[in-house]
Amino acid sequence: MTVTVRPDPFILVLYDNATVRGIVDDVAAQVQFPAAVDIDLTVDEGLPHPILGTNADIVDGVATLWVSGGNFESRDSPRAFSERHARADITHMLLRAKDRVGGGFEAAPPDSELTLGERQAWDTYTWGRVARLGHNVHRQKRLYDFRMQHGFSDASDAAFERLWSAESMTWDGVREICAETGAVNRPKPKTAIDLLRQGSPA
Amino acid sequence: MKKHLSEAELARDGRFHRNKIEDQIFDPRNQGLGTRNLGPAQMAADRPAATERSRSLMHGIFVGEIQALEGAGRTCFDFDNDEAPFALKLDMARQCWDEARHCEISVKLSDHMGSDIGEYGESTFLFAAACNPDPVMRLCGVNRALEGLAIDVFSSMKAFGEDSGDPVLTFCEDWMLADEVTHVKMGSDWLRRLTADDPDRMERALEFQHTVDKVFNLGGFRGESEENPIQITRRFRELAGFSQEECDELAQSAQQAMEEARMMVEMAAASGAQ
Repeated sequence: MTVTVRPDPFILVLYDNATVRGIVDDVAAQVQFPAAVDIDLTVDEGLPHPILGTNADIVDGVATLWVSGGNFESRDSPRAFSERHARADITHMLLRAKDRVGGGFEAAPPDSELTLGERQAWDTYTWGRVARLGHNVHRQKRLYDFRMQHGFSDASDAAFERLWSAESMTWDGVREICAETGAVNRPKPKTAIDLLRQGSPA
Repeated sequence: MKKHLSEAELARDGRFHRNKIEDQIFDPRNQGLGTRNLGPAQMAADRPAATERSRSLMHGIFVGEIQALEGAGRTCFDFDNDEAPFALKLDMARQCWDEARHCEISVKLSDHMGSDIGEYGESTFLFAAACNPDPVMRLCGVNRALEGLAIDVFSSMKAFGEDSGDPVLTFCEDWMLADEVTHVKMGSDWLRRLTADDPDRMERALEFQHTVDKVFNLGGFRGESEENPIQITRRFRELAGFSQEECDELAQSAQQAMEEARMMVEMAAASGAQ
């Protein structure tokens, strides 16, 4: 498996390419990422916190990951690197990429074609696993994110619980949950779901 | 006890982190950000990074409430009864009570949205409006400019709560908004009373308020177009004693601030391309 991290070097933020690559190597081993799949991670260093976003696709057999630089940024020190946030977000992206390779999400469309509800449900399933791997995941933050796309209701909270605690899940399972909460009936967003990545200079 | 505290002397516990204004101004990412499409400026559930952006703003509101509490509290203490009548201080004491409640509400809202005290940095430029040694100027800075900004922010947050179907956020923002209208009204009333026989002083105070308002426009953060995340709320400002002309002037100054910010981005981009 080869791991590529871009840009090299970072210019706008105080991140170190080798450090990020080292974390990707660590996490790939921890989540038992398929050895036959190469990893290509682009960090969009032009985006600061709180403009966050991640994408995880498989393109021509390569795990193609994109993340806003804000995701790895220290919350109290602009442009500084936060290893805690980077580890959690890299774990999240690699778990989703692994889901696409052989974890029940082989039939899922690319991130650019997901609805906000589908993406949020998949994220919840993933954050639950990231938390159980020992990372410091803010559960209430993830619940609020989920409610934003699935509604502020008891039915939505129950769906969140199921996704958060699920040991396994499939793409069809995610779609069923979107139907249950009504997220599937929400109007199409005014902008592309991967708008931030589309504007990425990398 | 010392009178007239500066921004640097505000007390905070170890959870808080102060943003350095120079870090924000000289951030090399600013240039590129100004030319990128980051989605609609106004807060909405389908806006990219909607939840983290709203959490960050909520934390800004929380620290703003602390600073408003400190500003109103200082006005109760910093002036003797010749400089500021007792009845004015009584109004400021009532405002402190409101601001303290707003701090508690903001903490609970932050819990609800999934963030913690001190998770984001604090800027103290709001308190700077409360450092003027003249009580009339300070009233204009705090009660008309700062609290006026609070009206705009709460109204926009309430709209976000409605858009996202969040009943807790909508309800809390609506109640805090009602208080802010009262605070601005107190500022408008006291400005007229204290300067009734001194039109020059009133003019100077309003000029100071316009200066503070310009700062609070934050280069396009506030305005009346779809490009502004925070909308100027004419209806509530009028209830709080702003005239139609004052609202027009504020809108014009916000528009100007946005155009200046845009020009700066263009100039920076042009110099980068050379």
